[in-house]
This record gives sequence, C-alpha cells and structure tokens, in this order.
Amino acid sequence: MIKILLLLTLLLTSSQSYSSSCPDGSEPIKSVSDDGTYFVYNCNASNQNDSIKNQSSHTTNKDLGIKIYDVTFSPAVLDKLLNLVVSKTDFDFSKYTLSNKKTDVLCRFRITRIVYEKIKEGQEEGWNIAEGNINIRGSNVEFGDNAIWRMGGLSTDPSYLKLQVNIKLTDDGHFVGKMAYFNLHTNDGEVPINPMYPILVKHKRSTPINIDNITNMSAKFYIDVEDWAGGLMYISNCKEL
Amino acid sequence: MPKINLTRRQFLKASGASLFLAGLPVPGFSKDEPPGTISVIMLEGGMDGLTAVPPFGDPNLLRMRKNLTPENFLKLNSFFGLHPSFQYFSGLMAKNNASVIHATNFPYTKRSHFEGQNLMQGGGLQPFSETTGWLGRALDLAKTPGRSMSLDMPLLLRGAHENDNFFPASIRNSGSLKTDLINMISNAHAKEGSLIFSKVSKKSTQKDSAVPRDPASLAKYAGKAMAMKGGPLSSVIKVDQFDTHASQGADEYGRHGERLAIVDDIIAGYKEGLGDAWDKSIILTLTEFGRTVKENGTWGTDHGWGSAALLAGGAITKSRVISKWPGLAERDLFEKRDLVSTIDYRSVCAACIEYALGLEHDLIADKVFFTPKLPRVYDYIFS
Repeated sequence: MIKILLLLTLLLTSSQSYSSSCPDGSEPIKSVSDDGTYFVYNCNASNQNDSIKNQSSHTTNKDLGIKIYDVTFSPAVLDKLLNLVVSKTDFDFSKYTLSNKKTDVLCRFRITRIVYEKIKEGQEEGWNIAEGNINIRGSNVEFGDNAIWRMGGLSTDPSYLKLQVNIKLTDDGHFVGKMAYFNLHTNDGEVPINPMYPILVKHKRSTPINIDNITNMSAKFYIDVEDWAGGLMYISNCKEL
Repeated sequence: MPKINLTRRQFLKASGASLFLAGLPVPGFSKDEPPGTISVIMLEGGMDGLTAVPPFGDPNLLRMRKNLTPENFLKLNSFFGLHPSFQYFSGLMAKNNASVIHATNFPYTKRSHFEGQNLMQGGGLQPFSETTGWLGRALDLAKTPGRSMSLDMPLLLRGAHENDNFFPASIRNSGSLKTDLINMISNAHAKEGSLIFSKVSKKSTQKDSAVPRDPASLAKYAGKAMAMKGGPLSSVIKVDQFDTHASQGADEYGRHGERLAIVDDIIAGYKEGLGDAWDKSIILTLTEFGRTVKENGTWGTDHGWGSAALLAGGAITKSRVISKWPGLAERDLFEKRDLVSTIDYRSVCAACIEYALGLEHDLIADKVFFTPKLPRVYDYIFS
C-alpha cells in the first residue's frame, strides 16, 4: 500500500512539472537539448535562455559602430580581376604555332569511343558518339549546324558544340584546345551528367591533317578523356568553300 | 561496367547540394511584383569565416591559426583578404557586385548543429520555437506563397500560407502516364479534395528539363527559373560538410577550401542562370555558427560563434567588407575561444528581404524575426 501511494505521489509530481504553466501564465516552450537527446522546457525565452543574445535591445541604428572597409585593388590586380574569365574552355594557345592558311574548309567529322579496360592500346567501339560537319577557317575550328552528340541527356543540347568549344588548328595539322565532351551516355529517366572538358593535345598516335592537301586526306585525333575510355575524332571529306 | 574516374575535387563539386525554389507570384493575390529576387546558400556544418575572409590585419590571426590561413589570399584592403577558392567571387568584388559581412551570425552561442541550423532557418527567438522559416514568413508577407522545388520543404521556406513542392526530374515515360483514375477521383471529391487530386494528376505528367544535380548546375537552373516572368522570387541551395574538426587545410586544395570553391561555383551558376535578372538579385550565405579561432589538436577547428557571410548580386553596387571587428586577442573572444558576432545576422537577412521583397524593415523585424528593435543595416549594404 505504501509503495502504491509513493508511486502515485511521484506520478503526480512529475506530470505537474510538465503540465504547469510558466510563472507569467504562458506556456513553456519546448526545445531540444544541446546533444539532441532530450526535450527541454523553458519559460520566456528572453529571460531564461542565455543562448539567445538579443543584441537589438541595447542597440539603435545610430550607434551600431559598424565600419565599412572599402575594397580597394591596385590597378594591376583590378585589371586582372575585371578580365577574369572563369570558363571551362579557357586554353592558352601561346605555346603552339597556329595554322596561317587562309583557306575555308568544310569537312565531315565523327567521334568514336575507345575503351582501354582490356587492351592497353584501346578497343574502338563501333558507333559514333558524335558526328556532323566541321569548319576550318584559318586556325579556327568550329562545328557545323548539323553537328550532334548522340549521348542522350544534356548532350542533345546543340549549344555545347556551338558555344563550349575552343579548338584551333596548328601549323602541323593538329587540333589543340578544349571542348565540352560527353563520355557517358544518359538514358531517359537517368540523372543527366555534365560534360567533361578534356584538353586536345598533339597526341603521338594521331594522324594530323595534311594542310597542303586538305581536300584529299583523312585525319584521326586521339582525345584523352578518362583512364577507362577516350575518344577518336575522324576528319574526312573536306571541301574548300 | 565502365569506371568513372573523378578527381576528389570533381567528386566533391558534384555532390552534397539540394535546391529549393519558392515564392511564385500568384496572379490576383500578389499586390505588386516585388522589386527583386533573394537566394540563400545554406552552408551546413559551420563555415569558418576566418579562413574564408582572413582578417590578416589583426596581429593575432597568424599567431592563432597559422596552418588554417591561406598564404595566397587576395588582399581586399589593408585588413581583410579573400580565400583563393573564391575566384569568381573576387571578380564580382572587382565589379562592385559582392560584399562580405564579417564577425556576424545569428545570436546563438551554444554550438549545437541541430539548434543552430534550426535557428538559422526558423529565425525564431529560441531553437525549435518556430514551425515556419524566416524566408517563408517574409514571402507570406509579400503575398508570394512558397513553392519548394525539392522532395521536402526546408524550414527556411515554410510559411503559413499555401506551400507546394516539385523537384525537376525527367521520369521515363512520364508523358504517357494514364491519369484517368486520378481525374475520376478528383471529379468525385468536393472542392478542396478535388484540388489536391488535380495537383497529383498535373504533377504526374509534369515534365521538366534535365538538370544535373551538382550545385552549380542547380544554381544555374534556379537562376533561369527566377529570371522568367512570373518565376520564383526565392531559391535556397544547401551545401554541407563544413564541419571540419580535423585536417581543415588552408588553401583551395584543403577540405574547407574545396567547400568554399563549391560556394564560388554556385554564385557563378546563379549569375549565368539569372542573366539580366542578376541586376535585381541578392544572394546571401547562411551558416549555423563559425569555428573556433584557435586551431585544435587535429589540424581543424571546433564549433564557434561569429563567422563571415558572402553577399552577391546586382543589388550590390559597391563592394565592401562590413564589420564591427571585435578582435582576436583572447580577451576579445567569446568564452575565450570564439570570434564574437558583433552584427546580428538577422539584420542582414532583414536588409536582403527589404531589398528583394520591398517590405518595410519594421514589419520584417516584428513579423519575420519577432524582434521589433532589430537594427536596420540596409544602408551599409545597399547604399
């Protein structure tokens, strides 16, 4: 009997501690403890919770004491920052001698994927991941209106072959520069994948464009993209415009 | 199975972000089109403001945190520098489109992630006291109910009025879904129930453009959406993993520096997506707390209080560092360990709301932050 009475007393005491109001009659505010393991009940946040420092009660707009530190760059730094282009296709062509041929040429191109997983030299896949026309005007290289990627997802956006290509032709017939490149196919319903931006260099295994006989040649450029797979860009059927 | 070879930097840049868009003006409900847009980048884990914007003019900085301060920071003036990860942001500073608030945060000092994140989103007077967020309440006041582009609705955007959510996805065959059954149920229900089922029907067949999930792409997508006439007025992007207790690093290749580079990419993505709408936009960062001034025993930092915040957008016409610098000497620190927050960050949020949504400061102070005497810092940022 004594045990039952004790239990009743304890129950009443503990339930009262949770159900009672604050001294000012307001309801206590529930929050979570520092370590997130239990609830804490507090009355009147402004009085009892020292975690909130209400700075505004002591401050007016006139005496905030805030200082403005102006941003000042030297003319050289400012010039550099103002001309800073954070572009994924930025490329420094200064170490290359670019083609100075004045001819305007329209060629066909196609890109295949070459997989290096089983064979060191790579195993070329039997389908084109990109294809269409390509224009070579002097050293400038641009993809034609009908050029397309066939990798699904974002690659179907034609702007990647228009705006995100920065390739030039060197005087010895190589393509150098950077371009948006899709190495993986995206199916319907899959999360799309952003393009990669491989650097096109003078690859030892490439067959460069014969600039002196450009309408009667075919060229092949190796593109290093990832360890497991890269690309092969074929150039053929060139016509002077 | 093809291997996907990503560098650590590429992997980090492609992970750990969520996008939320909100505040679609409702024809006939919104009084006037608000003057601007507001975007929030939530930095979860506690961003180290002393590394992001090192106050190199304070003699105690290098004494306290030599291994955490990048050597190649950009000098903004004779006192503050900018972390090398902020390449794009530095260009915006040169163009007078970006500012920094330093020694600032929400008035919360207990260093709990749970409570701090709740407060930075809820904007209440006490952790877990609010079921709505400060941005959601502001959008309510501007009569622009929230629409969250996510699978859930972050507390920051929750308001009292109508909320809706949607996440951009390209679901296989979603265009050919049969919605006859849903439409039948919709027709069989009374007005409110019918509305819900018609929404389900609409969402089932809703198509959207394919969006990669990396933070910069999400920001670009958000910017584009916000730039459209009648588009959302607000967006929120969340980036985590700022809680660098160990091996924090100093430069752009360190753990913290890599997270800062993501923030830089997000701001660049917003700028690209917003296009001309950049001119009337304001982007601000939030973090639940800063980090300890002194380096800990594992080459990292622990939970602190004051931090730095980045502001960017066409709304800013003069780049500045705005601060009431408290000092880094031990006697100047909060509990002898944390940078003191001398600017209540709620004031900064209020100024951004005032700019973007055209609400009066007193209204924002009272109804959004429940602090009628909240100082107004609008002129420091926007004048």
